[in-house]
Amino acid sequence: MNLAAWNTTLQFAGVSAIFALSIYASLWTGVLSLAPVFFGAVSAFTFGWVTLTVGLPPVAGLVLAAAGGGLLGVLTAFLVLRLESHYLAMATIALVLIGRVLVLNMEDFTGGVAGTLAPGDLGTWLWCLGCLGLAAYVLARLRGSRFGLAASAVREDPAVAQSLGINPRSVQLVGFVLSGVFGGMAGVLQASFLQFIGPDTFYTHLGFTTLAAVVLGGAFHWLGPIIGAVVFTALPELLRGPLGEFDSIVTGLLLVVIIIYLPRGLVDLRRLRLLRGRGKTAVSE
Amino acid sequence: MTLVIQQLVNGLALGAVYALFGVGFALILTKMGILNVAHGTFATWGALVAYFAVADVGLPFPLALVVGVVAAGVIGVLTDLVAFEPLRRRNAGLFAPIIASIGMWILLLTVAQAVFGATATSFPDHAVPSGPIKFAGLVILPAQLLNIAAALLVAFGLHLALTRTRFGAAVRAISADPRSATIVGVNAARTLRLVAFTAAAIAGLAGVLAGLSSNNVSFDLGEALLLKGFAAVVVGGYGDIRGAALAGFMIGILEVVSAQYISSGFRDAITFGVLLVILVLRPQGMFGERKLARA
Amino acid sequence: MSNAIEIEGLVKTFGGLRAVADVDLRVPQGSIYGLLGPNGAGKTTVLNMISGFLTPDQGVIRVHGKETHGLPPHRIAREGVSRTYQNIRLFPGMTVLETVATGAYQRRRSSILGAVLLSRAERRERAEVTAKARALMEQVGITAPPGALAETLSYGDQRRVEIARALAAEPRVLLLDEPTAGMNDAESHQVGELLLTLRGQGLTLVLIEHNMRLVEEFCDQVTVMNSGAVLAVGTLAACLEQPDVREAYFGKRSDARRIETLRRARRG
Ligand SMILES: Nc1ncnc2c1ncn2[C@@H]1O[C@H](COP(=O)(O)OP(=O)(O)OP(=O)(O)O)[C@@H](O)[C@H]1O
Ligand SMILES: [Mg+2]
Repeated sequence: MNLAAWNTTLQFAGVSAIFALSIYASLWTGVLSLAPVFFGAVSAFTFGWVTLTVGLPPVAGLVLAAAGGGLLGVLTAFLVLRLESHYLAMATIALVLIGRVLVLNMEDFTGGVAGTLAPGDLGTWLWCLGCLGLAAYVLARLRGSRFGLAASAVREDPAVAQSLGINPRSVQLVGFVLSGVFGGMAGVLQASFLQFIGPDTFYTHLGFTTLAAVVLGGAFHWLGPIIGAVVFTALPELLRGPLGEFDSIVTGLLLVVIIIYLPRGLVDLRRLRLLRGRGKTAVSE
Repeated sequence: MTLVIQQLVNGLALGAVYALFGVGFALILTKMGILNVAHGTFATWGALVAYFAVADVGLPFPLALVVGVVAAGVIGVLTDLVAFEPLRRRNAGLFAPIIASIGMWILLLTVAQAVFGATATSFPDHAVPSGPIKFAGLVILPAQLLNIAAALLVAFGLHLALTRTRFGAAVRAISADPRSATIVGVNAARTLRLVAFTAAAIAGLAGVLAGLSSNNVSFDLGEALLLKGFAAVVVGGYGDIRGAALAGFMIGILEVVSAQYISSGFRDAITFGVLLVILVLRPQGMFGERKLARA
Repeated sequence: MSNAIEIEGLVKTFGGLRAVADVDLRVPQGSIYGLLGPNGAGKTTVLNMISGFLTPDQGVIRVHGKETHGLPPHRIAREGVSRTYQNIRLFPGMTVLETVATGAYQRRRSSILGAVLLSRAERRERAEVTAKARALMEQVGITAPPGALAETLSYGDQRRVEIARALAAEPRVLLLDEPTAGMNDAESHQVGELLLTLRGQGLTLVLIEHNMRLVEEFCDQVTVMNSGAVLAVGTLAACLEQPDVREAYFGKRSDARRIETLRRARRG
């Protein structure tokens, strides 16, 4: 692969890292949600419409999409948070399916089957890394905070968390808001890089591969999804030579192997701590 | 009036495939606790294998159907062994199997595409009698009758097997608590394999019938089924296999009727809209009683 | 003296099993109250209903005069009820310090925005919580380093982490489900001393405990349960005078030697 191709690939890796952080934000609170794909779709088509039809500047479109994503996160949370784990996951998948149907049928707004254009002004390294950095910064700051500890607790054992006065629903609501904001930003950037979005741009495939990236990288630390996304975007490009268009076979295999043999992913603080703990006792003995 | 009845029949025939698929999907979901995203690919593989048995090997259709169904069942068992069994042993919780099934889904879908190619075909015309049966002003295709009969037979057969037989008792024991079931003498491994086979074989059957009645066999045939079958399970409820079957039929009718009277473009929107509304309004119905942790 | 917990007519059935059948309980404020009974008596089930893990089929639970039955667990926790678990429930992957700090959730005020911007209030609060968590670790006697993974600690330390986590919430009522299970005599005694200190600070403690020596020494009053029902209420000595209590513990043909062991234990 030449340099230009790598440049593009890595830019898309950056965008999928933001999507991955969007999934992570919910997963942190114990919710498996593919809603980020839906948030991305809504924000991308809104972005295309407000910039090209209404005539807002792209930056305003980005801000609008991020805010709208947060709002959408709240609405989604109210809709689905009453459900138990499996059904919650299902409901968010249903949301993705419904999103595509909406795109297909709201032709005036989305271009229907044909899709629509989006301005490419924000499709630069600066905006990509800026948004990614912002998302990562927010998550890193929240780690040791009141919310961060509560989120981890709810994920590890919601019943015990409740007995400490933590309301899982409100923690998960915050998770959805973060997920919505990040998903909104990612949608706009995806649209900016592609400069064209259609009904299949934000569909189950994006959701499942992003989820795979989160699982590979590790869903217990914000660094995990970023690393996972970069690996998962670069790997198919590397495999395209030997495997042709069927590179996703490796994606599938990898996913199964990781969840079985490396269930906490590449970035696993627990393993690090275990190792560190062992080291200590070894020294003191 | 005839038109309405005709549409009911068409809807039932379409819904029969959803019902069939939904029943197998529900079996895995409710008895094994696995939301198996790869279930649609079992249908695909069933249909593709049956297609090759007819078109390339030259088997008669009934035999090819059996081959396709068994092939799907075997793939289901392999999936269970490769992806789910290690997690079961580790007691990995709820999310890990979903993620493993996403991996299997990507894998099986891509391999299907690689092996069979991306172009769609259909079963040869002589596969089943294609002459419509005319009855009281209605036009009914033999394939439609086959769908409805298969769905009813499988749904009630499976229901009886689960409620009246030793196999059913073993399944219930394992789904309540795998470890104590083994202690009581249930052969857990064999039961689990049998459930995996049954569920996938039913998906294979749904795949073959879907390919037959839509005149379309392709590597992504199972994807649409997955979404509809999934809707059928949610709408039909968690407790009873028959609920999923009933909901499958209802969704079929809903689709045919809404395509006729509203717009064919919004057909899927209506199905998934109903799905979401049910999910949100009747969550307790879906998951039984509120889950309570035991301290 | 007013009661911290008042329970009337509590009933809980699982399938056909009446795990808790018409239980009354009055726990005086500022006391160490023992909840006794043989295995399967329904003690944990009572605790689960007080903390909101289970909803009673019937009956009234009042904590400091406020009816709490039917409230979700996090609301009950906000009424000042904290607990530990018979089968230890720590957060896998969290360190001891993080685990204890999580317990302080209700006592923290800082907002999400404050945390993201790392405001002065946020920094102060984090320092306070860390200091408090360390102090609690010391108080309950955890010897492991704060950065150790909680799940890798010794059995006794894990139980102490649970107590520290519960105390971090600054409860008024602390429910302890067999806190000394798996501990040796010296360790158990330490827990007993801790209970005295906590009572001195005004806490009410409900203790499920099989170690009679400990109950004798530290509990002000006990309720003995069997098969979901209350057998006896009062001091341990008084309860043990009752024949049906002995029978519940030792079977019909009361084993003289075990009784004798118990007597000796009571004498200290
Ligand atoms: N969630 C549940 N589902 C079904 N049965 C239960 C449940 N929780 C408790 N039980 C049953 O209720 C009865 C009382 O149990 P509980 O745990 O309250 O006893 P316990 O007094 O705490 O005993 P131990 O000293 O062994 O802890 C037991 O027979 C137990 O099997
Ligand atoms: Mg108990």
